[in-house]
Amino acid sequence: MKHLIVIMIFFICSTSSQAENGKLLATSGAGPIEGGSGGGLIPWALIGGYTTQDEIGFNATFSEADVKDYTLSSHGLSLSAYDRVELSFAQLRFENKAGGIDIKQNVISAKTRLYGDAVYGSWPLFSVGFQHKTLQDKTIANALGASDTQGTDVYLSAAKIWLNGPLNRTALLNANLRYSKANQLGLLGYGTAANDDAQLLLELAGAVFINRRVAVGMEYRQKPDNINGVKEDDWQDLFIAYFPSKSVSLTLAYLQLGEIAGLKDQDGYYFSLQAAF
Amino acid sequence: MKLIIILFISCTLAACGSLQTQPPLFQQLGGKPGIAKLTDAFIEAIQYNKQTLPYFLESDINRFRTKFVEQICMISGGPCEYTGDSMADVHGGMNINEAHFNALVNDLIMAMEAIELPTSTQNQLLSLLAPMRKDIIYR
Repeated sequence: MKHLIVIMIFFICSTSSQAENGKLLATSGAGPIEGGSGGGLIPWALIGGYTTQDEIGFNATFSEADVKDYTLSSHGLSLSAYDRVELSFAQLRFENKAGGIDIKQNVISAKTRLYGDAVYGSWPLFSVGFQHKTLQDKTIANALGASDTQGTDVYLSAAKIWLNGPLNRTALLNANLRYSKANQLGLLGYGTAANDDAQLLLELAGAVFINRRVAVGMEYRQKPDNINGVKEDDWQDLFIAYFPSKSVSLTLAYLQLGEIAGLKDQDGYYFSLQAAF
Repeated sequence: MKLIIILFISCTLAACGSLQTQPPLFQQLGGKPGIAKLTDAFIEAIQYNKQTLPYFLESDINRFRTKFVEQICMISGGPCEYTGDSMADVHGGMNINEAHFNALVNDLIMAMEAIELPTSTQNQLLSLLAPMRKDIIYR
């Protein structure tokens, strides 16, 4: 019920939005689980919202992943300024359906555009960002031998949009290099005594806009595997995103998250709603 | 990884299925009558957009209509010659920034949607116009 109310507020806000005249529709991406802007599983180089060089915009995101044995929900707010900087806060909540696991994590992140223009530039758009994560519930991370319950990921991101891509469709490719030692996004802490070095991880996203309002795509996220005996797999998703206006985006994804905290084959669905105001 | 492989295969198959050649863009746009219709819809979209309207208040709309039709006709491969001034000259001193430019692109997209041009036709036209951006903004 709470979620329904939040969604309704989003739509009410969105109808009065003045953000219609900035960037091209859908070039701000959708709502990723860790907050900010991007796809479902990873951030993208694009700065969120439809702000241009002399505007400030706000985004609210609600996301929920529901896989075989777990749910992961996220509420986030982000601010984007001058098509240059994006600051965001998100709270993640990870629960197992059988009960016993209920972990909250706060994520503060920032992303800044370094160089380029994804649509009109001959080079991709390059951005750099960080995500600082703090576990509110540390018991499980400590029990699994994590060396820390907070940590910071940094990433370099590049994105390119082709207005007239394959099959005369607008297409997007995004690649990130993340430097992290987070165990399952940091929900299970950071590193372990045995594997305590951050590593470079690859994240990829590709999307094709079927028309002005609907995009389909996929994402891949390489993950560390730090905890001996508790395997962590790479993540991937197939998504469809719907942009009814510049104020609202809805994303639905099919997730393959592999093994999480001892339970295999975590497939399921992801839903995200992002609203600009 | 399995998902990705399946996706790549299906994309490749989809690409092969549509390799039959499309008619030239000029014809996809409906020839000169289609381009005239698009131009009228574009002008209407500009007039309803408070971000782009001020830039057109001082200009001769009939001249804009004629020159825009000529330009679209020419770049889409039609039998026309653009007789207007260069993009840089037309937009000199107008101080158009990225926001204004994007607003204008949105006007064009709205016009193309309004006259129900297929997305593929829209994208071909946009990609021909996109290189003009450098002659239009911050002039």
